[in-house]
This record gives sequence, structure tokens and C-alpha cells, in this order.
Amino acid sequence: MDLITSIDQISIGDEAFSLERTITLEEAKEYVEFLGMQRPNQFINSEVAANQGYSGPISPARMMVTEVCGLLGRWIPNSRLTKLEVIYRRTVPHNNPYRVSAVVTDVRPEEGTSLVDLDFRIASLTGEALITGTVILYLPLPQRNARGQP
Amino acid sequence: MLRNLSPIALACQGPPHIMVGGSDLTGGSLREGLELNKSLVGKTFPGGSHRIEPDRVLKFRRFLDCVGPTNTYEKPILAEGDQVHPMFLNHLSVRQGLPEVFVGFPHRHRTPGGETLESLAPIHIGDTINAISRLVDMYTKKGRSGTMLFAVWETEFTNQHGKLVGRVRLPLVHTQ
Repeated sequence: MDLITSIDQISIGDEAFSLERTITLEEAKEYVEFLGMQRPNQFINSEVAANQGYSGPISPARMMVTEVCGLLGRWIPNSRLTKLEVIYRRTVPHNNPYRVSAVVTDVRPEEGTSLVDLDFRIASLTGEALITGTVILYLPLPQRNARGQP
Repeated sequence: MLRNLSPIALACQGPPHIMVGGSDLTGGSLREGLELNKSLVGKTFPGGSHRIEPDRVLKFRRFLDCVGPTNTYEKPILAEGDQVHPMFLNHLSVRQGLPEVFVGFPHRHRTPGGETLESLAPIHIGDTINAISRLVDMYTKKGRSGTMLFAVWETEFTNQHGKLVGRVRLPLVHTQ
């Protein structure tokens, strides 16, 4: 994942990141505890998950989206998220690897700043969409002039 | 079949929220002509005041940085005034007091269908965030496994200066 230091490094179609990830039961427990969620629940308890129609405890979808936000922040360290839209399509059991990726769909340079639109996708390793969404990042990065100066 | 209602839900209780020609839905399947009582639409519900504490942000940063269990995390130094990622707003406990709007509907679970987060101004450690949630819509949809009921909630977050710093729109899906 290349770090972005100039808006000129970003073009439509660029892949911000693409990597595999797996959420374990231990990680889900820590997340649930952080949220202060009632226990037991479908994220950490097999019986509750089964009662809700799941094959087993499921990974918290918001946790997965939070990681996407973190990855975007690492891609452009001084960017700020202005809008995030997410659709939750399918649940993900624990210890099931998935792929998370993001692609630039628009670059909107403005004086002294820029906006970058991305589509992100969390999919099973067979390509089934689990979570999809869009992000708009605000970048306080100046465009460079013909001499390469900000 | 009524669920235990929060005081807020009891205060808003009027006619049954799910009506199908007056028929009792307990244990039964929903049919066409489902009628929703939309008296709660437009009403607001307080989500409390939440101070952004450094230790909460530290814990949140772990999930943002997807670094795994606590013992592998190199803790950053956080200070009052440090800017916090807007996704932190989505981790405030503002929705636990929201009423059950589909009382009597025998749903197996209630889950977010998605969400939209708008960051309207930066938030910082030390800020006090006030949240107000409003039910903006209720509707039904046919799915593969039966009828789904949607309740769309919108939460607005303001800081201690009354400035609107964020907004989250959350459709909750109730499925049989």
C-alpha cells in the first residue's frame, strides 16, 4: 500500500488497498466489550446466533467497516473522512478470511484541498459481496504546479 | 405478544404498531396489506451526553488500526484536543434507549441494513458530544425469507458548543 503525499498520485481506478483479513472470536469479544453490548449476543455466543438463524457467532460488521476507515487513513495519513455509506449484505462467521479492497472512483481537486471518492468492498474469498460502500475523503493537499511545486 | 417496553416506548404506546385488519399476529405470518402505525415517525429521542475520553479513543484506535488483540498494540500517546476519527461517533452508546417500534412483530432479530455517516466538523478528545435520534421512516419490504420491516433512524451529534459535528442514518431491519 503506497502512501499518498500528493493528490497527483491519485487517479480514478487506483486501488487504495486490497488485503485479506480474518476476525477471530477473541477480537469480536474485545469489540463487543468496547461497545458495552449486552451479553450474550450473536457476535460471541453460538446459541444466541443460532436462535437468530446464523450458523455460528458472526463478526461485527461495524468492526469490519471501522478497519476499512483505518486502512484509508493509512493510505492517506492526513486525510479526513467526510462521508461513509455502507450496505451490509451478508454476515461473516468468525475465522473466515475475507478480502477488503477500495478503489478510487473520483478525484475532485479544489483550491487548497481535494476530495477523493472511493468504493470499498468486503468480499468472501470466492468473491461474494459481504459489505459494500462508498467513502469521501477530504485531503488538505495542494495540487502541484507545472514546476512540481505546491 | 408484547415485548418488554422501555419507558420511552411505553410513553409512545398507542394502538398496536402492527395491524393487519385487526388480526392477532402472534405466531402467525404476515400477509399483504400490512399496516404500520407511524405515530413515532418524526419523534426525537435523546441519546445522552458523551465526553470523548482518551482511554476510550485509545481502545477505539485499536479497531481502527486492526492490529489484533490488546497485547500486540503499541499504544499511542493521546492528549486533550487531539482530533478523533469521525467513525468514533458510531461507537457512542446512543441507541440503547431507542424504543422498539415494531411491537408485536415476531421477528427473529433486528440488524442494521447499512448506515451513512457524515462528518460535519472535527471532533476532539475532551469534547462532549450530545446525541439526538429521530425515527425518520418505517416501511416494509418483501425478502426471500419473508417480510422485512425497516425502521430508519437518524442521529445528530452536536458538541459542547452546540455545533453539529456529525450525522448517522441507520436503517434497522426486522426479519422473521
